[in-house]
Amino acid sequence: VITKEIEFLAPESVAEALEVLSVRGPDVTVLSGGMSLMPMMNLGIVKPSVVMSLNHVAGLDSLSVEDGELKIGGMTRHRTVMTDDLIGTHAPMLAEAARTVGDVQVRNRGTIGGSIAHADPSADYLPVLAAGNAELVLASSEGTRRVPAAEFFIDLMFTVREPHELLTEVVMPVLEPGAGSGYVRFARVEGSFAIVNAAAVIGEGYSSTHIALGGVSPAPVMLDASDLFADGLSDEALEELASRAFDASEEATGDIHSDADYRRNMAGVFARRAVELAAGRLATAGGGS
Amino acid sequence: MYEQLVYDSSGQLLTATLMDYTIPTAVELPKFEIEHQETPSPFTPLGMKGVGESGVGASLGALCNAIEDAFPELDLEIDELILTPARVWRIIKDAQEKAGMST
Repeated sequence: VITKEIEFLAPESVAEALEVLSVRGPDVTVLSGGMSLMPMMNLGIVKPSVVMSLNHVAGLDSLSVEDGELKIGGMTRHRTVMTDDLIGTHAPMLAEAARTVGDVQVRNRGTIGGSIAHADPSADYLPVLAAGNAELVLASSEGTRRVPAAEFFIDLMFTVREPHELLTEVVMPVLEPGAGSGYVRFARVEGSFAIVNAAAVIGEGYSSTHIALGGVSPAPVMLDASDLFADGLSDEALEELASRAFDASEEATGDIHSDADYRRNMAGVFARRAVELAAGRLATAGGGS
Repeated sequence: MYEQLVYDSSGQLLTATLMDYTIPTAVELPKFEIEHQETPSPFTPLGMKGVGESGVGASLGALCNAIEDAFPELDLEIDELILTPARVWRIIKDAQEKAGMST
């Protein structure tokens, strides 16, 4: 229950929003879709004094492809991420991840930027961004900077975003022709957060294999398995991948759904499944599908 | 398999919301066919029996037995719920170690 009076701001331009953050940043909690913030406020987990909504800011939900990069505005709703043709063509695993976020209501309202800035270690987008070499654009009244996804997430719900900065855009290199990608998740029921999730990107002809794991560490865990799959998939290579995923998940913690050891073992299972899924799409990815 | 009241050491309920207290919905259920096996009670008018709760006990036991039967090589004795994937995995893992089997 929200018991305290909250100052509510609804700027209509990015410049206006950045001005607010530059002056009052540390006191301001940014609201996008509100799919995590509102329940947290209701439960009394966060008690912001100033809430700034981005829902009236123009131009934060644009989508474009420029110079081999897919640019997605931070206020783009999950529903758009999962259905938009541009995203489906150039970053299909992002669409795949969006399909599994929350439930229909959450996907209609929640945003990609909000989910990323919230940085729940089990969030669906995080391993996809890490494996896909995405960058996050942070804007402030002083300018903008681009941070690789692998460096953006520092700890549990903690990112490199400074209080005076706003996450305005997600930049994802377009999936190369002939490459394959895939996202898999393990959760108890539809709509619940993943216990473990994994994304894999395999370059044409197994030129490279990058995997990222979520849910097993405060920030996404990256695995470069290019050496393992240079000659394609084999049982030995997949076994070795599972073993590496287990080793890389040493920071996994237990919760009411699973203990840490189980989580680490599932990291191995789902790393394998992500690679197998991406590999299965290698052949057709170049066919303009 | 899903629903569980989890308390921490100070008695605080950890599964207080539907985010943590998992309830299976139609999405989680496998497709199944329903068949009837009728065994009228000899003790009541019309052969009536209780419904609802009275059927639950047998299904829980059947679930435990099904897991035991799935691993004939292991000497499993499952007499406690909840059967989450994590717990079933742990039960099998422990039994394999006890039997000296590598995984």
